[in-house]
Amino acid sequence: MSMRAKKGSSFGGTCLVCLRDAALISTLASVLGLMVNLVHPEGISLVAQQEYQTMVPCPVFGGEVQKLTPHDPSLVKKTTFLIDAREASVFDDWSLRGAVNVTFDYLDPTPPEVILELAQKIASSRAQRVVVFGDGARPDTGEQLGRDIAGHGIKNVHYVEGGAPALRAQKEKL
Amino acid sequence: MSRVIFHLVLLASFFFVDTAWAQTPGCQQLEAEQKKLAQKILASQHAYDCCDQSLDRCLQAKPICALAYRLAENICRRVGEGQDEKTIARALSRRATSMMSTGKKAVIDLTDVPFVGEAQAPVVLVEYACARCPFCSKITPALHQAVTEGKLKGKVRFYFKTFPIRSHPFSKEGGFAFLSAAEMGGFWDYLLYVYGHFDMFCVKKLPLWAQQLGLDQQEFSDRMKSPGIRERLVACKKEGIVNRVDATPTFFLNGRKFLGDLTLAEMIDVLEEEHDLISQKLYRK
Repeated sequence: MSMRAKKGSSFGGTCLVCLRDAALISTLASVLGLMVNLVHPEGISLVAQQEYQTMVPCPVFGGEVQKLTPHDPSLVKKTTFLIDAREASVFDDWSLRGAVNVTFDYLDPTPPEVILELAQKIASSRAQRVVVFGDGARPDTGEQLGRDIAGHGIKNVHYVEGGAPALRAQKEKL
Repeated sequence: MSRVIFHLVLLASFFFVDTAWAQTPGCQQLEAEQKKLAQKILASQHAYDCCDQSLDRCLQAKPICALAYRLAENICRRVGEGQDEKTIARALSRRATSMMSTGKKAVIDLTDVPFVGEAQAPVVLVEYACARCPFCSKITPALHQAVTEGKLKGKVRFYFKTFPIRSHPFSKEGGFAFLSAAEMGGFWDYLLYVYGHFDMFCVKKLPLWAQQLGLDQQEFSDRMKSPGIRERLVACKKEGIVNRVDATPTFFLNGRKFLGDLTLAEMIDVLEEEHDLISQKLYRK
């Protein structure tokens, strides 16, 4: 019992010594830093001279995408993962076989869970490239969604010039 | 004797160069080392209009090319701020690209877009900005002041177009609020208030702030939720994308995208330069 009490007091003493040393080192380091700052010709002012301002433009989030023509042969390859960026109603009406629908919105960001699910699907499909097609308008939702998902780290993303209308016209021509 | 003449000529040439380049107020204020750097840059940079020689030589010619004088002031200001030679050269290059751009001008629909400044002002400045962009919240009110009561008064018409950045939380709601205020005729007061209270932004407060500025709170709330406002905001966003707006703020000067430094001093300088160009004020009196 007395042995335990002795151990406890020794542990407490060591902690106190550690704390004392830590406080001493912190104080000395702070004093040294302040002295160096004081002597330095371009020392940092301890009180802000002017209001802090964030003067950096805000970039639009997104990554690099490459353009494909509607008759590009890679569109029908099994190693291509197809994404339709149009609204669900028009997607239900017509789309390329095997395409996944992820609607692009100009105001709301694509939800992170949708991006995650998409990334998992792309990974499990073993696709070598991702091709996004949208409404084909100017600007094109396909290109915008492509930039969006490329910005989230999905590699080798392409978009189809002219979007779904151009693809449909191409299919009907064939 | 010839040695004495040589030294006199040398001395006179130094005196001549110093007085020639030091005619601008900004350059005169520089210290000796800064003057050396400024002189070096002035000797290597060229004006992109009204004078074909290096800036230091343009300053010696009569009449003095207004652009050369403006660029010399710009260089000396930058040197005074501690910028190095490469940074200044890059900034001047971007500025020249913006001002001399001969490419296709951006198509910007200014129908019902709120503006400040005199309606007859020859320079049209359009800003695409996000309600939740900290940089926009600083530079927009500063430019508003310059256009309404500062150096740009009577020279510039300043239009504001909402361009919500999707990754900014509540940028969409801020955009709806800006457009609602515009429809109700209180756009600039509201914008300045929202940007002035940037750190206190809260979606619930947006109609209350409108009420504080004399707009009807209920009508404001209803407009914010209307499909028409959403359509207008999407249209603004799409137009910005087509015009290659890739960050906020992005400015267009008479339809040309401005690629230079986005500081208030630089913006005022280039807008005055554009005004001089339109008004045919190519040379200093």
